Amino acid sequence: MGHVLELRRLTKRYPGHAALEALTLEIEEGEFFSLLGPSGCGKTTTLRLIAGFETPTEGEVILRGEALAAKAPHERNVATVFQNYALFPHLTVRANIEFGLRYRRGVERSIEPVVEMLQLGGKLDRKPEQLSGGEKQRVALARALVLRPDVLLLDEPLSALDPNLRAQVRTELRALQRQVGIAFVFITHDQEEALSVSDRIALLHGGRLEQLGTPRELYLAPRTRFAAGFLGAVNWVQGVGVRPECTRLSVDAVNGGARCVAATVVSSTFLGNCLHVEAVTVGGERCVAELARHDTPYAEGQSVHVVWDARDELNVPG
Amino acid sequence: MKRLRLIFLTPAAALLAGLFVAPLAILAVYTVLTRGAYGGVSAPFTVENWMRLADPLYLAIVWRSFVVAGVSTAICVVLGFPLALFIARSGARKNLYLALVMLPFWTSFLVRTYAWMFLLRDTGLINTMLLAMGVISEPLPLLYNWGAVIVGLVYGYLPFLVLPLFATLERMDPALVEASADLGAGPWQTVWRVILPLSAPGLRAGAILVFIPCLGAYLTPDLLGGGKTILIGTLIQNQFTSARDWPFGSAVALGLMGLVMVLLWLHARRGGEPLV
Repeated sequence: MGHVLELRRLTKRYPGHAALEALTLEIEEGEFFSLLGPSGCGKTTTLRLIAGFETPTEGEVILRGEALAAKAPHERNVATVFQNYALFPHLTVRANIEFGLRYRRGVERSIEPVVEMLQLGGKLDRKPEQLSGGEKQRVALARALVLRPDVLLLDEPLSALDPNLRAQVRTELRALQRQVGIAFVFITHDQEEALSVSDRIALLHGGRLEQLGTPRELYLAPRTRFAAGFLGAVNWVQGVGVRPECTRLSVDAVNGGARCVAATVVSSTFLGNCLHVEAVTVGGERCVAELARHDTPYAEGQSVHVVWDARDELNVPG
Repeated sequence: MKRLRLIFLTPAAALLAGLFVAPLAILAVYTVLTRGAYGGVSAPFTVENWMRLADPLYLAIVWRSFVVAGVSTAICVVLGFPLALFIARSGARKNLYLALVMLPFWTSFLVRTYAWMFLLRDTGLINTMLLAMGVISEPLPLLYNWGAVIVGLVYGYLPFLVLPLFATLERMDPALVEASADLGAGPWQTVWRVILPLSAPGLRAGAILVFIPCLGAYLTPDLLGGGKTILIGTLIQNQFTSARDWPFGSAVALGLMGLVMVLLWLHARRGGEPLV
């Protein structure tokens, strides 16, 4: 399959700072692609450049082989799900979903399939203010998907939802994307969200592409300290990185195969599903071991050894 | 606490009661009395003043006032909407533009109306310039007609439309405009389908704030209309001065007030926001 969207050295500079610096990406047909990074990393700028709300300082956005530079937002066949959904408050759910239909030629006139898919049948005559957060999000999705865009842009669509709802909705979102087969460009600062839904993730940092890859690649083989730390917790011991879930503790020194460093227990935290024991090595490095909750409890000040397997080390250059 | 509130409220309440409610009550009583020979009022009680309001002569004046106020308001809407939209979307310069809109309030309305006379009269700036440039051979009749009155009213009351409309537009989520474009609507369609409907409360508030003073305007029609243009305001003034018919003048004034209150009630009933 070819790529539907291409960013070529896309750059956005504001007086005094660069929001995005030479980002080059190709997004495949039917792909669930995430732009991940902390606030200010350039992910929202990237989305706004694709949608046409901002003009790039340099570089190009190419949609289905066509450069979009000269096209206004309303002329681009992309659709956005806004962070707070931006539903038109004066229009009913039906009118919101139908809003764009009259402008896109060749789009089927019926909103029924989308309404059914997103289970909005009973809500069509309501106003946005009468909807729950989850329903608003589904209306925003319906309003965009009914236009059959080449790419759907989602700007942190889960952040406005109740935390209890998020995990469920992101699973539904993933299933929806599979069903409609449209490429999704999903913006998030939440690494767990990105890991769980994406085919590929672009990790952005300070306006630059830090690493691009599948969730596995990013989590298991981060190429920078930043990538390692942003995707999950890392212990940095003797120059190598080890995830807490790959870190064990042992009272006695372990010989053969495993790496072993003497340390002193600082604290022990019971988290329900597991136990986090924090220890400081003889080299003064702080590290956390994620242990099964039935493991031996460790006392503060106890002398232990931090143990891990060489194959679990993150090979981060530098 | 309650006592303190009472203390703070008393001056304003006393002022309103003495200088607003009491005169209104007196005016109300005047409307059902007979005119005095040299002005003022005398017995007996009568409803004749109210009946006279239905006289076609006066109905014509009321109608004319509505037309002038309506046309002025419509022009204010046409001019004010783009202006308010421009200011609301001009970022850091917003406050400067708002200050410019309010700048005329720094001088007296009377002075500014006289300024318009200097601009519009036969030997005024506009005619002099056009004559000097050879565009016209004799002065255009710009002053002392309905056109001049409407120009004066639009000029005077445009800020009252722009300010509430600006407030509404500024509160509007910019993402809604982006969403409209994102869904394929061009700039004009976005104005028509999103911005205009969402700014309706502010637009209605502004239109009422323009319409009401235009309806009762006295100074502008008198100076720029040259007395040839009788509107409700002029009619009331005439009754209290040259016509020496205080009861009828009072009836016209209270009638106008009643109309205005009906308009405000309609606005409030449609979920309108407070006017100030």
